[in-house]
Amino acid sequence: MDILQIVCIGIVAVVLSVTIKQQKPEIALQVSIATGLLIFILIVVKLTSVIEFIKTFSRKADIDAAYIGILLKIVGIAYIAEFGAEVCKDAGESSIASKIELAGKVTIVILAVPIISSLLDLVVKLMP
Amino acid sequence: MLEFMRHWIINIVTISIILILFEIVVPSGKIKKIITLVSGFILLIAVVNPLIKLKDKSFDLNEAMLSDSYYIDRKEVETGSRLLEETQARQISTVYKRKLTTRIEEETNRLEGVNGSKALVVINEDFKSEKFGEITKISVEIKKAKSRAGASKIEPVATVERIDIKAQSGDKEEKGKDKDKDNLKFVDPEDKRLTELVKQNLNKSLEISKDNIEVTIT
Repeated sequence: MDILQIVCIGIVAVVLSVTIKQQKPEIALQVSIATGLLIFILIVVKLTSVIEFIKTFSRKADIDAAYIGILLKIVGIAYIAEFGAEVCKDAGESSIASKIELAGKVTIVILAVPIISSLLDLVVKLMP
Repeated sequence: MLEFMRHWIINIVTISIILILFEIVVPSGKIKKIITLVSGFILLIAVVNPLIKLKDKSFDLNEAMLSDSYYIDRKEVETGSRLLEETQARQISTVYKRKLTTRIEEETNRLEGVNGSKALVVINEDFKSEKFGEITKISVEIKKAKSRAGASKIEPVATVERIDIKAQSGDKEEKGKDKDKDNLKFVDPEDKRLTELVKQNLNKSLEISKDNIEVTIT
């Protein structure tokens, strides 16, 4: 029933935002940011259980924990960057939003550098 | 061998499932492409890694990843510390210049016959050089005080030297003309005294050559 809660929160926020937008657009933006944060927190709490499941799954299958760790970090960065970018887009600042997305991409690539270099090392070692 | 194959296949299948789960969870934006790329790399490593372990048992993937992460972190810290050093040096030179300017102005104002002054200090700002902070030039603009009441009303008279009218050769005549011009160029003895006094004072207190001190009197 959580999805009902989230959808209701979203619809109420949209109605509020549209009503206020005519008189006070700055408060409408604040309402949209607050709603976004609320839904984000609600989802993140649910996400914790999914992550726990994946961790247990990988431990059972004897998978290197380093992969899962990096993947989790990447997903976290992606969520935060996307959230920030969406808020900026709502406020009409799409240029700042694209900068946030760029920052997210760069951070993910920095995290992925050890993976890429390890892959290269593996390929070199595989060669006779 | 059969056990190895079994373990390898389970590993690949599990990682593939986990990667699919992650792809579902990841927000659908522009970042998704990069995440797909990284997850593809991870899958590739998972496929190749057991083969390497079979061939060379000493190879540790975690160790290789750690060393790479360490290298990136070290580079980041180095760049950060260099930036910090530069900012610090710039701040130090700004504060030093400001204090020096204030000191020079205060010292000059204390001199007799000076009503106010404005100083400009040029220092060596290359923080890598050994001479960082060395004063290269000082320019001082002095406002002269009125010496006595009514004295300013008297116009100074240009000093005229004796002119030798018996000069005969053309060269001598020209030289004489130049000399006359020089003589007619008026230099207030008070200004000269003040300039010398300021230069001497700064030379004494800051140990800077008199040639590097420029004094303007207004």
